[in-house]
Amino acid sequence: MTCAEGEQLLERQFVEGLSPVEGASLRAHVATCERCRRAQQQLARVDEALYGAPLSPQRVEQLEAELLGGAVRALPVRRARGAALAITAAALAASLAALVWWRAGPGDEFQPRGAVGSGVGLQALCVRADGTTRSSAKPGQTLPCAPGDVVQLMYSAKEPVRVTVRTSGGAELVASPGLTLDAAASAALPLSTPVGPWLSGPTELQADFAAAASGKPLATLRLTLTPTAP
Amino acid sequence: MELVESPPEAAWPASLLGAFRRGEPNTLSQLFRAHVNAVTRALRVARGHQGARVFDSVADVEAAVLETFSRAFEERARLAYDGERSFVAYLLGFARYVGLEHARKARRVTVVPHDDELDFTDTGPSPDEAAEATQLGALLDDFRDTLDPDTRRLYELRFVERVAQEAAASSLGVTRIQLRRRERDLKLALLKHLRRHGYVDGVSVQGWRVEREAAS
Repeated sequence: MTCAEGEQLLERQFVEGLSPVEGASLRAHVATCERCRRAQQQLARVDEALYGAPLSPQRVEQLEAELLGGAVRALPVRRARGAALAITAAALAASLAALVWWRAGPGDEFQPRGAVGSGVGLQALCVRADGTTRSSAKPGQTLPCAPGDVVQLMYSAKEPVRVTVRTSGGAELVASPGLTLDAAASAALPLSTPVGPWLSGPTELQADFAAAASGKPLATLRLTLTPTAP
Repeated sequence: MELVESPPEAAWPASLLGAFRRGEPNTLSQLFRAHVNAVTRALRVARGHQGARVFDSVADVEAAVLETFSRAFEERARLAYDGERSFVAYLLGFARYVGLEHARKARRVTVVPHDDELDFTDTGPSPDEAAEATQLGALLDDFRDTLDPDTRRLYELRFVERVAQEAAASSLGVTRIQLRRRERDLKLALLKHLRRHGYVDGVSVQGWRVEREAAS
């Protein structure tokens, strides 16, 4: 996000509030932009002077949508193969927030998505370099993804789990084996993987979940990645 | 949606506790709205054991607020809450951990501190902040004086008397959606006013027009 884009979002946040996508994206931007950070601080003081509270009604709605649509925390993106990865964590977080927010239905905010009765769930997202979501897939579905995109996995788990993710082609999508994850609803795995030559044809992705405490296998979830044109 | 400040602290009825423990979305939503400003206030003024503010920016505070509620609303935490002790204290317990983690990551705290080393006491504005608040107050008064009578009435209802949107809409004889639209236009005009007087750095009003109607 450029500073000019950040400023526009700041304006809109002040005037009418932002969507969860935009809110997450702006938060990531101001972390690196002193000018926008200062402006946001000033606008927050204006809101407090107007409403007598730190958050305007619009900001409360925005944060509530981010939280109850599935909190998306900062996503460190693994920079595989040097700096080839163009997407920013901010854009990715924004895109994920959008998807999770959009998909969240009433009554299931804190329930695993894609679960198979084992208390775990999995969802894969394909995120373009500009941070928009190209596609998403749940277990049993296919995820079209293009070179330059990033594959990001989301998981849900009722208890802390260890997950190992492999592909049929042998490509490693996350730091496997045995990444330990906290119990969460629609949280992002802490790593993501850019699509490169390894995705030259339909590729099965398999995620093995096991209880972190006991090592007891919980579920094996599969979906298919397939290359598509940018 | 209007801001609802924290209700008086009392033991929760069994129905509320049950709904919270089950993670019913409406209950979580109401609790979030009722307490988010209290948590935001606390995190904004949080100071580490050396007296330095833990969070530097609005964005950092927002992220910490989300993290606090996210942890407080996790199933394990919900089931552990008894409905007897203060819910604000319950939330601030998570806020304390979130603040300490942030401070440690920012290297403001070199060792894992004890629980009592994050202070949520609001010590009031610094001299610079107080001066800025005075300047802002004068600018807001100036702005109000430029408004036509109808818009000024809206400003006073919403930002001086702080009447809820629904009641303000009723008082002005408009629908709530119309009121929201007028309030939005009012804030845009205010932003231009502040910009013109050099208050808001780095934000130039682009003249965009809001096309999306927010849900009421």
